[in-house]
Amino acid sequence: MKKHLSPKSVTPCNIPALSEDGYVRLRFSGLESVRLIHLISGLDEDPPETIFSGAISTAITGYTEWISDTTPTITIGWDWEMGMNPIALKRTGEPRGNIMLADARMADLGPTKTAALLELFVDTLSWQTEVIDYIEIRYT
Amino acid sequence: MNITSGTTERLPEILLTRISSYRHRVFVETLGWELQTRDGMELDQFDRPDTVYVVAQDGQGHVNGCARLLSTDRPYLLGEVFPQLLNGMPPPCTPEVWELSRFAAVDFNGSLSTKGQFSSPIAIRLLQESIASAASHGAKRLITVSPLGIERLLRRAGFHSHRAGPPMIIDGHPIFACWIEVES
Repeated sequence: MKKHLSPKSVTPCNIPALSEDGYVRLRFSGLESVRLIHLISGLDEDPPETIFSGAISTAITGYTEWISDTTPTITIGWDWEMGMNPIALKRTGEPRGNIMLADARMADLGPTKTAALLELFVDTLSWQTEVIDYIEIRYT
Repeated sequence: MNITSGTTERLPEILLTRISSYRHRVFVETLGWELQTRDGMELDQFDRPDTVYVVAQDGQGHVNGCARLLSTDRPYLLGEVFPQLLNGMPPPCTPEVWELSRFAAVDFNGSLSTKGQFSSPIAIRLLQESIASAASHGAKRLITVSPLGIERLLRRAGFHSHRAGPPMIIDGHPIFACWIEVES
């Protein structure tokens, strides 16, 4: 079941202090307790090369950005591609942000494992409707 | 494509003039940023004798990319103007951290538009050379204030980077601070 994202409410949780290297370090379970607030979404101004490898653009692509209402702030964003009939958004590529996931002993999982787990995390979220609504308002 | 780097004191004056004219064309005329300008050149308080520039030129000598590097132990853009992008962390102040700013790779004499400036081969090569140049000056990490599009470029160029904090929306466009690791 997809996790519902509330634009106004945030679950209190223990977000660790910001590390000197700029990462927010937390366990995956801690991340799952964070509710994210939509910050901005947009259509690509700088499309991925693969989309324009041919002469004609074949897809509408964009980005979306979400933040936590915690201190320090967690930031996460990802790219998406829009499918038609019906209109639907699908995440593309790895999410980007300031998160370093840690194991039970709070040892870093590293960028590769963190990226893989962030993909899983994002794919449990129900973000598409809010982004489509935002895009419609922003570009009409 | 030729790439040159050096400080204000070492680069030829004609090249410095071309860089500031190119920056004016990119950031002021094309992107509409409100920046200090003078006689068709874009320069600010961080363009000093110790500032390091990395500049790309095509075969005819036209500038088609540039970047600016500043050691964080001297005044720099993020520390002076955008410290709020650091998620509450104090701005770095060490010769081991350099700031990358005014990064642009718009080829006005080629086929690319500003829309491709974070995905072109020029951009990738310029980024690689900028990071190498900072490393040669002692940088172990870089920090940059940029549009979000630079994250894609960093990944495409094979660099490990992560955000220093959440984006801020300025004139409808998100900008953010990003850490870039200099691989040894």
